[in-house]
Amino acid sequence: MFHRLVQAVQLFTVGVVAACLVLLLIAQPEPSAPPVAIVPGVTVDPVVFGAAVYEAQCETCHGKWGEGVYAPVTIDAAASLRAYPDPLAQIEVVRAGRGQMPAFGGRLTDEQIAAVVAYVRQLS
Amino acid sequence: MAFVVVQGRPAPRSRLRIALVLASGAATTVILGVYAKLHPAGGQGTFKILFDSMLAFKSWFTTAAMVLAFAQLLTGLRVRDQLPWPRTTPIWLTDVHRLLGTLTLLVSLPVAYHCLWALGFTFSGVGGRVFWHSVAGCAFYGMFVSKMLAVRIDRLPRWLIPVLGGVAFSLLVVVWVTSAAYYLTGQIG
Repeated sequence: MFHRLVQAVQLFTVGVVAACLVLLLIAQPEPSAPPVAIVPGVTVDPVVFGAAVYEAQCETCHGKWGEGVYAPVTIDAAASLRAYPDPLAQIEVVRAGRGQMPAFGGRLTDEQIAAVVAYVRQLS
Repeated sequence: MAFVVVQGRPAPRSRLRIALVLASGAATTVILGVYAKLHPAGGQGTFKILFDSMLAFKSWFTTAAMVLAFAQLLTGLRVRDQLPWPRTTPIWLTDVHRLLGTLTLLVSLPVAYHCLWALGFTFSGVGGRVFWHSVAGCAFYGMFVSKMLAVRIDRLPRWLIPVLGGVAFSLLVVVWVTSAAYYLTGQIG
């Protein structure tokens, strides 16, 4: 009886492995997110503009997808949304810096900071 | 006092089988790594199953996989009489050992799927956490394939399967240490 259960679980797992392999080959990323306005008067496309700013300024420490290269610098969008329900608070962190993270207020324009925050907030 | 049983050198056919087993694992590792590097990763989420973020989901599932793998390691040691407890080996222990290995793979799959499909292989910061995570993640599945093959091929050296299992478990520990450990200790997230 138990032996058959194990065999059933093994068979199911083989099916899941096959499904994963098929999905890896055929699944396509979703299209870009629509433009969003997170500060008055500034409408940005987080994937296009924010991603470019992120790549230039943030990727070295935070990793390509916010996964973190040198811990503890991982970005988790869900945690960001919890910690900063108001995006302006997160923008302030980028502008003024926090802990080991330097201030970007002098290096980036308000539009760039808003864009990169919008981009980070939609990372999964 | 420890006794070491010295076996003769493997016969040529045995060596060929060992090479086949190891080459299959190496090929799997390389294929996964190449896919992860070449596939246009989008950084998007996949499934979070009851968790509020991908990071939480992946961290807890990786931890579950490691716990299951550790339990499989213990049952494997007992099956091979390397552990004194329980005094008599239950007849069902081999099935439990297989079930734990299967569940380890099953639990790790959604995590690996997201890593491969959405994040890709990371070379940035070579020598850093994510680089080693990428290497260990791909190598873990390669070692898993080698072990599965070794289990099904006859007349292989007795030491091969435990060694492959041990290396696979070690790689899973590296995967956990370079990812979930950071989340669970509050260093990220």
